[in-house]
Amino acid sequence: MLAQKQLAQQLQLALDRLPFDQRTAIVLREIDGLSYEEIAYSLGVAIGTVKSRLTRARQALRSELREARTA
Amino acid sequence: MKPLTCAATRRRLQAFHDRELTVADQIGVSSHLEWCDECAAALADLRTLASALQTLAPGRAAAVDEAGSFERAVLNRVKAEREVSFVAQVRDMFDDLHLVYAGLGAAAATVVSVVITLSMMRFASAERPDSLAAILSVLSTSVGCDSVTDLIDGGGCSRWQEQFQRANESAEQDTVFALDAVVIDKGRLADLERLRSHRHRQGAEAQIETIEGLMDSLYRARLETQIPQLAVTGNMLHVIERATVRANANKPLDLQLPPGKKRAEAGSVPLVLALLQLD
Repeated sequence: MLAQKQLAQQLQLALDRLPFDQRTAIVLREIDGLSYEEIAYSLGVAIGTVKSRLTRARQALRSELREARTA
Repeated sequence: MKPLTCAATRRRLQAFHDRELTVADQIGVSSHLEWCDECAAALADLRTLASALQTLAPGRAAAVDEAGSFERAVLNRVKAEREVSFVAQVRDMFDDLHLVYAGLGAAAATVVSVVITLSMMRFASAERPDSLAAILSVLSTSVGCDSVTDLIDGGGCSRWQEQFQRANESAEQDTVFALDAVVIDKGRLADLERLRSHRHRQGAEAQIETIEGLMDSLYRARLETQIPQLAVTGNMLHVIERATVRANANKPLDLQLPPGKKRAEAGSVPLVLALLQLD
């Protein structure tokens, strides 16, 4: 339980360190559950831009998660 | 269906996790994940990350499940309204620039055509100065002179003289003279004596001699008096026909014509004769 709480804190820190565009995209997708098209319409960008932002955000968060698990 | 490679599956893995793939791609990725452990582990990482993020805002995630359908419905409605809006239609129209270019070209061609037409209407002369209509127009124009004296002196008759000069200079075959004289019913020309009295004026001697020769020819024509059986119009046309001076091969006029002018061909039918036949 304590480990999960620490993991959540690490993830929150990693999320805060993300650039604003990537953080907005990942939050809208994973937490708010919007589709690519809805995110693109909400942010006023193309769907391809949403995909690339999601990819970079997930790579950064996965690396943070791996470091937290190994630590 | 061709099975996907690991690289192709990795490229589609994120969209597969987000349920954004087409049905065909979803089937392909699913069948690949059944036997590829590495790609399945990558997908498990994505799902773990998603669940971890959803734990950061549990209340919000639960609210999303409840309001998800409503939010999607609103977004779809907004999207549909935007697609049918006037601004969107105008934007779509300008997406295809071929239509814009065609419209601009048509507008430019219309403007050029209007400008050319207006220019032609503005600058084109109504008639050739040496045409029969122009000559008749000159002859029928009010001289605006008080007497023949003003005509010879050139004062106050500039517009008439300009038309007269233009008609005279443009004629290539015939020499046209417009005479201001009054033919009375007794068969003689009024004001001829006044015209002769100005023969020694400066700058007009050659022209006066020419006109005088024409006047002499008119005198030699022996104008007849009225014919009782003809109406007034017929009498006038008869007198004008008799007073019309035309070149004659048997009896040429000994006149000094301006250089470059030719004598009229003998035997040409005067217009007045045709009018007489109509009467």
